[in-house]
Amino acid sequence: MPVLDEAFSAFLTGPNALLIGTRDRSNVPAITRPAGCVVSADGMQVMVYLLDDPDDRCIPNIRATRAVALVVARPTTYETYQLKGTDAQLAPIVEEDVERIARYRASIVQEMTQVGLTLDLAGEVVPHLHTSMLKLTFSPSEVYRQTPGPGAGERREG
Amino acid sequence: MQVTLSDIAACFEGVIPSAIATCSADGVPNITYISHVHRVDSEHVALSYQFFNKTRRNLQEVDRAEVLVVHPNDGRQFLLDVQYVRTETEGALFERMKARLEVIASLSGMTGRFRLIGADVFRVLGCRRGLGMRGLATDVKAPSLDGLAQLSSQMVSCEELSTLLSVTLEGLARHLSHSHSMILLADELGERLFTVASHGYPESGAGSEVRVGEGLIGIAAQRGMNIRTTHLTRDILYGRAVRQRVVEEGEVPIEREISLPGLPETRSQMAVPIRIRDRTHGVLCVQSSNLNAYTETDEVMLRVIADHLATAAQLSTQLSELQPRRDGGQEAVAPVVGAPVLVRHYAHDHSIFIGGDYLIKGVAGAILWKLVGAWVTERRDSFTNRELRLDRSLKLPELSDNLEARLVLLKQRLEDRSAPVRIQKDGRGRFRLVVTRALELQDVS
Repeated sequence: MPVLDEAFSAFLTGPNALLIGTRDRSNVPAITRPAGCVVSADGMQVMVYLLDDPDDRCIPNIRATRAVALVVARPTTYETYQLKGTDAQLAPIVEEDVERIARYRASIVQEMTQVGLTLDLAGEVVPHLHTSMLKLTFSPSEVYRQTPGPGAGERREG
Repeated sequence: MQVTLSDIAACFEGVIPSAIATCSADGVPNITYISHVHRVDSEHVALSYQFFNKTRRNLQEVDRAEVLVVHPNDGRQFLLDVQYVRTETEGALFERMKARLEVIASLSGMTGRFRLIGADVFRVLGCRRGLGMRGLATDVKAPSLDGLAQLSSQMVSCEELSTLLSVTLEGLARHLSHSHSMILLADELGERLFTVASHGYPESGAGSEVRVGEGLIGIAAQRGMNIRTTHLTRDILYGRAVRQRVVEEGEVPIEREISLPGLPETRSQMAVPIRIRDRTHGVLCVQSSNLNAYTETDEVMLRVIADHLATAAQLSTQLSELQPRRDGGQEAVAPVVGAPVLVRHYAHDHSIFIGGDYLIKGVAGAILWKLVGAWVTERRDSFTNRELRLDRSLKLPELSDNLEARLVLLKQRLEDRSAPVRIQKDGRGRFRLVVTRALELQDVS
């Protein structure tokens, strides 16, 4: 089980575009876009925030299979990683999480404007802060580089 | 709610990155960003297959995937449930996807580094709105057919190529809101394109060169294909990311990045080849500093204008050569001052150097050599297109080849280089040679 070092944790919690991949019991995959990424102090766990919508396939998928893939990408540099886990859990958010989500939204929207999106458009692409959100927590068991070019798809150790 | 692919056509412009989720047979989901999802028809999309990665391995095990696309106008997100069908390695779809990759590679100075192995085609089983995104209210203005008709009428009334070029670009701005545009013409060797007319830039931009096969314009010329991109910033950043990784891995690919002619902050660009009977004579290009500035309809309209331009240019050339006409009276001959400047002509490729600086080569070079020869030996300064066409020593191709385009190019090059020899039109199919310094000619065989 890799421990996420300080520098990598700092990258993961920065202004990144985030995507979650899940699958159902028949291995049919589904995507959703979370908001905000947090790394636990011991570097063993990662948390992101999902909208608790009854139509979202990812939430029942996570409850059914606990398998998750998280892609973290910095829009201005394309530096990208994928973290995978098999122990995903969902929990309600608390006040501290709300502040984190708001900070994340502000930073990623600003980052997206640097690649040409207007503030309004960038604000739409990132999930809006919502009272019915869930915190997804998992322990990354594998981390892969996904920055385009040589080395994409290779495992990142540590 | 089910949504059709044509309802969300703009999502396939690739302005905001898409993503695909797949799953392995042992139940491990995988997700990756993809630069472009191509809409094939009402039921199919295609993704580029560039290398054997985890997504591809998963699709061999489980053929289902989900693709996320984002609407570039209002931020709405759509989820496509798809099933892998086949991989195409030739044909129109493959060529279109290959051209797009070549543009991105070329922009980042890595021509040939991005190889398209195939176009993976997927059947779309369902398409639904993504969650939590409200979508902005937008008002997208459709281009006007009336504008197209007005521009078309103005173009056919032009008698001279140089007028046709400026009328076309001014009309694109007035009638179709393309405020930044340029026309590039190919040299006779088909190796380079030269800007001969432009509109809307702080500087004329004329004379800038693009190598055929390089950059968006060069690739449009080489492949005889429209190229439209609406997110150049992202394409360039993507190319840079790959380039950075290539350098970090110790490989040495690497050419210089190709700077785009025209707007410094170009975010959207269309380049449409000007073609007659499968031969590319030039490229018509429009640019915008706005993201997502052009739609499929804009591309079709520009295609119509480029085709019309090709035909109108051919007609104006025929008119110039078959019915020349002098405008107004004879102007005074400019005084010749200063020490003689050396004009050197290399016979093997007709390249011309003036005062040691390269000017032009090929047919345009041969034409200039003939003109300066007539001026030095006979003090002649008045010429017609028709006599050039009939001059066997120039070995000009048949009428359909655009002699006037060569003259426009030559005129532009002389002006760009501030040469002491200029070409000045003085009627339909006629021009004057204006020489402001004594010329010393040297023929190098």
